[in-house]
Amino acid sequence: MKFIKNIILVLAVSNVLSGIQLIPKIENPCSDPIIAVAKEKGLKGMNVKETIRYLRVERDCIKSEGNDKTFYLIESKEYQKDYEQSRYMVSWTSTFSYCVGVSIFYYFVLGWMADN
Amino acid sequence: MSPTVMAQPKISLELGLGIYEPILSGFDDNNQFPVAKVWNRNLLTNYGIFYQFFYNARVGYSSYTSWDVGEMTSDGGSMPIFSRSITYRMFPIETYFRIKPTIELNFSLTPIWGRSKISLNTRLNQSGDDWNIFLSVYGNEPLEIATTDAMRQDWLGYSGQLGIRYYLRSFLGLELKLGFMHNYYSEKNWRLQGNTITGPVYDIEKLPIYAFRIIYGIK
Repeated sequence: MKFIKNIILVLAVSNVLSGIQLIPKIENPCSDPIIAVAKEKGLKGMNVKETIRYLRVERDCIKSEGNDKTFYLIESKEYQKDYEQSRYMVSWTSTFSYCVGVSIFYYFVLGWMADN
Repeated sequence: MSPTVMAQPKISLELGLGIYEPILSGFDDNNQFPVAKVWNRNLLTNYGIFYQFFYNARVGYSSYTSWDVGEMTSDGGSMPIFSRSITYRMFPIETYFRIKPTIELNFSLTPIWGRSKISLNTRLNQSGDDWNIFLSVYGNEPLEIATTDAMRQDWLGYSGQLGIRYYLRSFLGLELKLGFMHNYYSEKNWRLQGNTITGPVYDIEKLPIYAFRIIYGIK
């Protein structure tokens, strides 16, 4: 009974809140300073609050101007940087990966053969 | 002046679900326990945190837990609420490389520190006596008081997993993992209030495991 009461309370509160605009609309999203922050720090360098604002700015800017080139460039630069840094395995990591592969092969293939 | 851009997420959080197929004959051979279903036998909830400590390597903590909860139907008992968890706590070292800008392959090896916990929320009057004596000091009528206690067992094991990760955004990825677990579990050494007791039989020695995760890079 208490659970049902809580659900009714949550529904009532969310109904009231839905009529209030809790998050203000972003004015001029395409020239928002968060874009410069993203260019400087990269998306992963931003904190969660900045990331949420960036995603809202991105959505509103694309909606208003229909141009996603700026955002595409920011993200593709990060992808490219990540790709260049982790395209090849360095030092001991390739040996480690080989060991993992062998252990999985041993478990699935040889284990299966042993069971049958 | 060229802007500096952060590389791979140094710290990442993961949330996911796993599937495996243990044989928990300690429960399945006895009809007093909640009926075995996919959610309480085969499904694992997963969370974890990773730190990139080398160019192509991360270290972290990842936990897979199987849950079960329900009413026991033992004759003569108080039909207590039974809950059981089996947690596979892993401390993986994961190496990886990207085969495309948005696709990563990773390889992890990890020791496992497993723990199973069984708790009963009973309504036996005997268990409530102490409380009722205490409450009667203040003039209260006897109450039917629930008491909870839990028995635990720990074990060690190891696991190897291969994963493929697709980055939806540079900070957000989806991952599929496939691997195995090897657990050295014994039903002999469960602990309950300082006593060593025999617990349920779990056939979890060799298990394939599959998992799906959402990864969020926070830094």
